[in-house]
Amino acid sequence: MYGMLFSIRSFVSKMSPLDMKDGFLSFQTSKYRLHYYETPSGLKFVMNTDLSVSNARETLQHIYSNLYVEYIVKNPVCVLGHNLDSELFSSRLDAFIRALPYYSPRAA
Amino acid sequence: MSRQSNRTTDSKKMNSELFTLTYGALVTQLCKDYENDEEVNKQLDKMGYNIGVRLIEDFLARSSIGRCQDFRETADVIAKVAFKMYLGVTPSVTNWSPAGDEFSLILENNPLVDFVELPDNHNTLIYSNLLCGVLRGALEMVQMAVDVRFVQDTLRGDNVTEIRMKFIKRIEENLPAGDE
Repeated sequence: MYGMLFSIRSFVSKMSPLDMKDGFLSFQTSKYRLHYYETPSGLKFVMNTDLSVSNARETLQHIYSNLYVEYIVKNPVCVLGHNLDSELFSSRLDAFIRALPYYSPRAA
Repeated sequence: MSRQSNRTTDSKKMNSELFTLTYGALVTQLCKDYENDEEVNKQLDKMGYNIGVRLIEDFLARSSIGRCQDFRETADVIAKVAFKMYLGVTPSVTNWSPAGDEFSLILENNPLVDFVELPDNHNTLIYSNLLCGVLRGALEMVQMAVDVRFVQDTLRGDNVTEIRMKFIKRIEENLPAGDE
């Protein structure tokens, strides 16, 4: 997946006629939409949703500032760059996503 | 109204004193453990580096600053936003080299060295060397390799504390080895 995102990102930056502000935001297929957020430190956040969600940039930003930084970065036991190994992070992330207005468990 | 403001400044002063004392205890312990100023300087730099690579994430999350366009902007952000946010001081940015790749941060007062005096047998110790490591680590995470050194230090008798920062190169993003 990284290769694809990297290619899309450099494609977007080359295509952009003016100074690129936010860069690559999301792409959609007929079945899903992929949202992308990258921090200046090179961290990439990807979220796949269905087509009804138009802009998840703020959500991803919130996940970065309030969840990733708090529970992973500030935890000296978590090695940056390896798999995210924090129970607390996983449970908080899960609770946050479930509380999002556009998340609703679809009846099977 | 005035009572409220007193309370906030008091709590800020309390935090900075605890921080200063903690840092002092850290340096003292390192000196006891290593007994060699050069080694202590190296360790402080290493610790600073580890702090810096994480601190940058916290900084980016709290300040919501985007990518800097050039080194000058980086210098301004470091001095006006980062130092203000973490140490409560705003150094001035001066002494730009003609090529625009080197500058100095001048700190009138350094919160790490409140109450500190260097004894005579430690005159090669760079007390605040942690800051150099922090700056180096943080900038490396935003793809900038820099060299950071102290050129003046109030603990060694100079009037101000001066940190010299030199831009070495841009770190290119490497693609991870394909594992598909």
